Amino acid sequence: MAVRTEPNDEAFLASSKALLDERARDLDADVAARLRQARYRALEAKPRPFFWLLPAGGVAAASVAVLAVALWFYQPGRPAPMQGVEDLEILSSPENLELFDDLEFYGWLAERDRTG
Amino acid sequence: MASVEARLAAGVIVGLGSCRGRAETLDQTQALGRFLAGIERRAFRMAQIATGDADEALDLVQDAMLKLAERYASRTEAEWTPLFYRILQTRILDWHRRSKVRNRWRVWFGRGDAEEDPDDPLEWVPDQAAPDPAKQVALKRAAQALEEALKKLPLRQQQAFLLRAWEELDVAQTAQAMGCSEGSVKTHYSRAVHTLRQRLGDHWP
Repeated sequence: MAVRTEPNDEAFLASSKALLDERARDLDADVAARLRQARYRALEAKPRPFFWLLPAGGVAAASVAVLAVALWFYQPGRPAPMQGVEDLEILSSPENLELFDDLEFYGWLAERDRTG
Repeated sequence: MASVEARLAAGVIVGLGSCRGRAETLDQTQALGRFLAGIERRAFRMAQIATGDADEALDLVQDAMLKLAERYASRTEAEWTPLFYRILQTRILDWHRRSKVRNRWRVWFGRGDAEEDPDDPLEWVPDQAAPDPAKQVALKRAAQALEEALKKLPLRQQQAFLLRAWEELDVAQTAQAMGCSEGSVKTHYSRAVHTLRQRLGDHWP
């Protein structure tokens, strides 16, 4: 979508641009300094992201991670240490293991004799 | 032990995210600083040509810089140029409207300054046969002549010419910056080139 320009216009436009560039370079020191100050003020006014939220976010994320790890390692069905010791006693006893297998049956028999 | 490691890992992740965010913001601030540094002098000259006053021009450029930084810093760098000039040109238009009202009141109370007829720009166009040592002076005068001729243009033609010919915005970007249609940009620009060439003549460096 170029605007039609005559051949002579091209040279005229190139000269104009060069002259205007020269004028822009040729600013006096005071104006240049005031422009620089204006630029710094604009950069200071630039909105900053909410970095102060990051520490709070970090604590929250760390807490979630710790909770996840704790839940991962927590096993509700795991036998307590004392239960392991009792098993060891049964296994190491010289009694017949079948007796312990049928312990429930003998318990039922004893209950029946008592009530019956 | 595992929870300590997890805690450390989470801390590292959050820390890295924070550092990356800060680095991106720093990059963006530096990019905006570079953009403004590259454009501020041309913007000042444009505003000065439009207002004829260095202090007013400085105020307008500063306003435009502030608004760009406050509202559009997060946009892409490619968008900054048309956005910046849109802000600046709007400020210039507002300034002209206010000046017209002020001048009307001055004329009403009989305090209006007589229209000064600035020097004929052609007087400043350099002689092609000028010797080399005087070339810089001649170029400076030619530049001043161009500025004077630009000041005499209607504001919209002046804006179209400066944005298209100097800032090299395309028609669509110029239309965006000027807040008008692309057809209007073409018309203003074409008339501006025609008028400037007539005023400055063929004696051009």
